[in-house]
Amino acid sequence: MKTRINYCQVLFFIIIILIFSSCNNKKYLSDIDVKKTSEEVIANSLFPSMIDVDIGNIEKYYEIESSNIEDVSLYINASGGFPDELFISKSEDKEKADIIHKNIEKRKEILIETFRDYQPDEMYKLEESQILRYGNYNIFIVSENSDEVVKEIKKYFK
Amino acid sequence: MKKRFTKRSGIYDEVNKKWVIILLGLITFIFIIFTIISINYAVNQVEKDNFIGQNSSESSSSDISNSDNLPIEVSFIPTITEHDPVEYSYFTDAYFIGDSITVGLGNYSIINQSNIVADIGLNLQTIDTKKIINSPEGLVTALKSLQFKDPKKIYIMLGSNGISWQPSAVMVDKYSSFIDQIKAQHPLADIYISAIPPVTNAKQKSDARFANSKIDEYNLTLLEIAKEKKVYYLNSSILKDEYGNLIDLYAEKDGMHMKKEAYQALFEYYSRHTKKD
Repeated sequence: MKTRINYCQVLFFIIIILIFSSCNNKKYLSDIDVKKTSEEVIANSLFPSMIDVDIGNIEKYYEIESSNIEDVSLYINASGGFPDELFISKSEDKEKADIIHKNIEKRKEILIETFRDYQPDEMYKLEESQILRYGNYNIFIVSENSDEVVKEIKKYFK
Repeated sequence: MKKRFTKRSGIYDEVNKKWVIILLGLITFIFIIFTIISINYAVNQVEKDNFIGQNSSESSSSDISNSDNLPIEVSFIPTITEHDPVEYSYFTDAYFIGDSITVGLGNYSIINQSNIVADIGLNLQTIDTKKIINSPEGLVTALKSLQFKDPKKIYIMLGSNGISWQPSAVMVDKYSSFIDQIKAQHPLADIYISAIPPVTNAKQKSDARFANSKIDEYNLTLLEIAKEKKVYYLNSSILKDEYGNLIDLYAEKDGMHMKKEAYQALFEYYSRHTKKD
């Protein structure tokens, strides 16, 4: 009897903790400003000549449907000579975020296909690229310092 | 009497003889003068006739040309003399075809993205086959995408991606064929061939396949294509330092791609070298 009570108490506390942590997390992520975060990450990381792609033009690179995106930001290398890229998106729900995740994987494949013959020296950036997922946020990082960029990103997505 | 008469007639004969000689001399003189004048006139007339003949033959050929609506053959000069820069609006109906260098022109917002028909890694080998532009028919090639637009000017910059590995003769053939296709598709558009930019000295030293001497040689063949196809040619001198290399301040760290300042200079050059209407 004594043991049963202890199990129930533990289970109860676990559920309470999970509910609170979930709520806290959700509240925190919903506060993230995608544009501002991208801007700050770019400013604090070593990217070569990056430009902020207009929302209307992002589709050209990611083939995403606007209905799957609540907020989005894309930085690419302006000169066209490097695959460096930072993509952050926020979707309304998990299902839409999953679709965006697939769009990112496709984008990565296209970049690999493009740079394999064109600039083989830059391929290491794609091999070390990172696709991150925080709730309904998707993040794609292509950089020679991708680990450093991930650390920078984690400051926002705790 | 008779003798007197004879004497008188002798005097008369003598006087007459003098006058006859003077008269004959005068006639001879007049004849000579007349002959000289006649010869002179005849020579002038022949020259005049020849001159009129030349003119009339030109005008007749011109008349024939005009009556047949054939263009009068005038040697075409593909280079353009610098003039005051045109307004940005000049470029609203201009489309830019190319590789990553041209991609940069749109990325840096020098030219509107919708006027950029370019893709990273595009080269003369893939220009006819690689589908790079979204269109009402989905993803299509550069050439096909122009079918959905109404370009009045078409700028082409191709070759940077092939210079290191493609034989020059193949590139020239491909380029010529591409120009032919564009001209067939848009016969009224002004076509500009842009020279490919140089690379930095560091780049050419580290990779001889990109030597600027090789790039210059290729650009000269582009000038020949421009002459042959009667399209305009824009050189890349604005991007060169005193040694003919890409200005270091304009270059990205790979020594080949360019920063915004380079595109601004290039656009300024384009604005000052347009066909005058």
